[in-house]
Formats: sequence, structure tokens, C-alpha cells
Amino acid sequence: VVRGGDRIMLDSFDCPDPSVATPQRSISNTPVQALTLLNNPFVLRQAELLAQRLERESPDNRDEQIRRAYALLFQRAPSPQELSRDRRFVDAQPLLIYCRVLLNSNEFVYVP
Amino acid sequence: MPTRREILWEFGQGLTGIALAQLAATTGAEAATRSPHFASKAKRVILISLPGGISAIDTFDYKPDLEKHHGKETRGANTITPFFGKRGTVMKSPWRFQQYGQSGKWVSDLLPNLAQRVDDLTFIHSMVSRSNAHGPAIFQMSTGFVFQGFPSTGSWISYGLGSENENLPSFVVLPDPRGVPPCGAANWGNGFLPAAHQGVVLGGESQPIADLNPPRSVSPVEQSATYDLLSEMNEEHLKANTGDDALAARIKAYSLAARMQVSAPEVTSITSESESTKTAYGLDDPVTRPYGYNCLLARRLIERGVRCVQLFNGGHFGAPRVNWDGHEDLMANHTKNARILDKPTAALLADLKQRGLMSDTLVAITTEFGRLPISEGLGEGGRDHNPEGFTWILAGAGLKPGFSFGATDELGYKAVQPTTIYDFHATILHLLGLDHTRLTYYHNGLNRRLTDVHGHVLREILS
Repeated sequence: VVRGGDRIMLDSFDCPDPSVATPQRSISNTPVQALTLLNNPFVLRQAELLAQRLERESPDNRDEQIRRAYALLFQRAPSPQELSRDRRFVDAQPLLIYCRVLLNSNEFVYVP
Repeated sequence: MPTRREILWEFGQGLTGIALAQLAATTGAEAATRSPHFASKAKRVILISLPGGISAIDTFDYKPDLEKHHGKETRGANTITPFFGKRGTVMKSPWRFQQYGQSGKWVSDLLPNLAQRVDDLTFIHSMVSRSNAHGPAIFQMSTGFVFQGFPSTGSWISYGLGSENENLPSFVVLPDPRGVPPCGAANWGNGFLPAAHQGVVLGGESQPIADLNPPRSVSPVEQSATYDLLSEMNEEHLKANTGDDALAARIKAYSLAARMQVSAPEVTSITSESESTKTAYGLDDPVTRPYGYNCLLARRLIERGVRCVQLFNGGHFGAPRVNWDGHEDLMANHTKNARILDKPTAALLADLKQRGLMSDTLVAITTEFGRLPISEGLGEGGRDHNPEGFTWILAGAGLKPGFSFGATDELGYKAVQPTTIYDFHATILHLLGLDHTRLTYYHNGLNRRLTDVHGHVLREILS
């Protein structure tokens, strides 16, 4: 990183300025970012790829697909309540839309 | 429900924080309207920031002596140490100065439209910065501190006064269409303040808000089902992870995102504006249109209750230069930038006045530092950074209009009686009804302030 270099891309991802000491990187958390993560075609494409993987690894088994998604994204199994709630969702909506929800969830995006 | 951090904060505040304690009741993420410390005329702010460092002595700080000493060396106590070390000789302004308005203010030919507004402006000619490097100096301009990570002025204002429109962010940032300023998001960061007070960036006219709507392949039913399940999942996750401000803030960000999907198109579309308004803001000219649109958008946001709009005229540093950093050729650099800045900014000031918005709106025009009265190198035509004396401008509610405060020496190098950025920030908060010593946030063992442990309200400029 060069002071004065072209760093528009880095700046938008909160990269600190190299001419000052930065003990801690600043973190953005705004509705604009929420919109990007929800609506950007890139994220939708990733959701689609995830949905395809779930179909491939657990064909025609909705409960298994939900469990697999939790294992992949959250490193845990869903609770019985979560499983039945999510099952109702995927019965009504495409799997791709379900994957999009998971990719936007705090549990996936935010590592405390 | 207040988070652990906020309960601690509220406790730490004791009775002094009562006016602001309502914040704690709103999870720290929602920026609901709050009462100021005392009655004030100004309710909202437009901050216009000029990255790179616009020259004071070539705009509003007229120094006839530069002509007299043109070509001479600066010696002894007057020796000037430039940022890049290339010391030239005294350089007169390449622009001609004239007097304008009832106040008879001297302004250069560089800014002919802003010159027409001098009777509405309050000039502070004695500004000093603690750094002569862009990064730290722009941090001080935006946050009061020369280090990264402190809350921006807009964040403090949002924190102090909250929002007047629950469907729009309380603090909106409009970067220069040519690029984000040096140090980017740190200029509008919330630092340790609750994340809801971070500036929300809107892009230019072609796409004011990126990804505002889902791709066409996602149906409205799917979109609303997405919001429902997402908020249910996130609420449960929050219950299992109490005390983390960022989680609550993300939930609020999604709910505001959903409301913005409805409210934002009305704000960002300018089809309802008259042709004469559009022309006044320079929208009929491809050079002024991108920044002019942002100026017009700033007025539309302010009208709809956004508390603070920070508008940038100038992008990042580097080559080619897209800000006021006129090292090599001051004439070319400032001419190019002034052409973009002058007309739309003057139109915004005139429009605010004509619509009666000036009576409760504050406008501040700032830059990280000025430029030296000597050339950058012998026989060169640029000017280097000058943090020792430069001009910032205020306008609007609670100020003496057509008034100039403070001065630099005969060459426009050093402020005679320096006005610090702390003083300026203290004054802005005062004009908004906030006492800078009482607008605090408990962080890391200290009641932090925008003004650190400094700052005096500039009473001389108040009406």
C-alpha cells in the first residue's frame, strides 16, 4: 500500500489510511451495505451455487438440505424449532431464496 | 431493549446524561429524535468538505502584500518549511481580487458565484490544523482527532440530536462523483458511538443507492418472505448473543434498508424540480452536473429531516489529481476544481435562503489545510500544504452574516490568533444547541468528546 496511491477499492472496505497509526480498523455497518448483501447479483449468484450444492448433496430431501446448510454456514445443527420453521419457508419459497436469507444472517456474516 | 454496553454507559453518565439517555432506551441503533441541551435556531447541518486543501490566499483571504513581496525569499522567523521540502519564493495570487456585497468582502475571480453570496457567509480566517499531511489533517477536519477511529462530526451530531425521519438515515454522505476522499469511510465513521450514527453513503445521480432493489428474478413475495425470516433469525441470534452493539445495528440496518427501498426513490429523483432550479445548480453542464446533483440532493435530504449531510468536493489524492491538492500547477488545479465547486455550491446557498431553510440550517465549508504563500520550488507554479493559517466558512442559523473573523499574517502564512478545529467543532455543536463539554460518550474509561479536552465556542461570530 502506497500513501497517495489509488485505493478506492480498499477505502470502500474500510482499509485504514497508511499515513496514520491505526490500532483498530474501523468497521462499517450501514443500510447501504445491507442492501448490497441482499440485492447484489453477486450475492444472489452465490446463493444459487449454494442451493445447487445442497440439491446435489442431499437430493430431494428438504430437511437434510437445511441441516447441511446449517453445518456449512453455521457449523452447527439446527434446533427442532429452527428446522420446522425453515422447512415451512423452503416449502413455500425456492431454495435459492432460502440460501440468500442464510447468507445475509447475522450468524453467518458476523463473527463476534 | 438496551444492550449491556448501553446500560453501563447510561450508568456511567449519571444525571448529566439525562438529555441523551433516551438513546439508551432505543437499543443504541435507532436514531430517534432527541432534545438538544439548550434552545437553538439551527436544527440540521450541511458539511461541505474540500479534500486536498483549497488555498485561502487565492480565494477569500486577500493578501495584497503577496504582490509586493512576489519573488522574494522568506527568511529568519518567517522561514517556511513546506511538506515536500521544496522551498520556493513568495508567489502572488494568479487571480484578481475584487470587493463584493454590502460587506465589501475581497474575493478572487476564481469563485465568481460564491463571491455573490459573501453577505450570507461567516469567514474564519485563522484556522490551524495539527498536521500538514492529508491523512491526519482530514481526520482532524472530520473527527477532531489526527488518528483514525474516532466518531465523525456528523456521527456526533446524529448521536446528539437523532433523526427526524425514520425512513432515512440521520447522517448521509455524498462523496465527490470523482471518487471517495482520502481515508474514505473513516471520514464518516461512527468510531465508538453506536453504529446507527455512521454516515450512510449515497452514490451519484446514475445510481444514488446501489442495489436498492432486488434483481428482477426475485419476486416481491420472495423479497418480503426474505425480510421476515431474516429478521426472525437475527432476533433469535441476538437473544443468544446479548451485549453486542454490532448485531443490533445490523438488524436495524436491514430494517432501515427495507424502509429506504420505499422512501429513497422519492428523495433521489429530481424530476419534480423546476428547470430553473436544475440550471441554477449547473445540471445543464456536464462539468458541474455530478457535483451539482449532489448539492441539490443535499437540499432534498435536509428538507426531509436528514440531520446531517456531508458533501465532498474533491476525491482521493494521487495522480491524476481529482482534488484541491495543487502542488504542481495551482492555476490549472484550482481553476478546474473551482469550475465544479463554485456554481452549484452558490446555488445551494441561494436555494436554502430562498426557501427559508437557512433559518434553521447550518452550512460549513471546510478543507484539511490551506496552501503556502511561497511557490513549491524555485520558479514553480504550485503551492504546498499550509496548516498554520487557513480559511473555513460557516453560513446559516445563529451566525453573523457577511462577517469575517480572525486573520493571518501579511503573507497569509500563519494565523495571528489561531482558531483550532476544536473551537470550530465546539461552535458548530453550540449552534445546534449542544454543549460540546456535555455531548459525551463513555468509552475506554473516558467520557469522550468531539473536542477531546479542548475547544472554545467562537462567541464573536454568533448573532
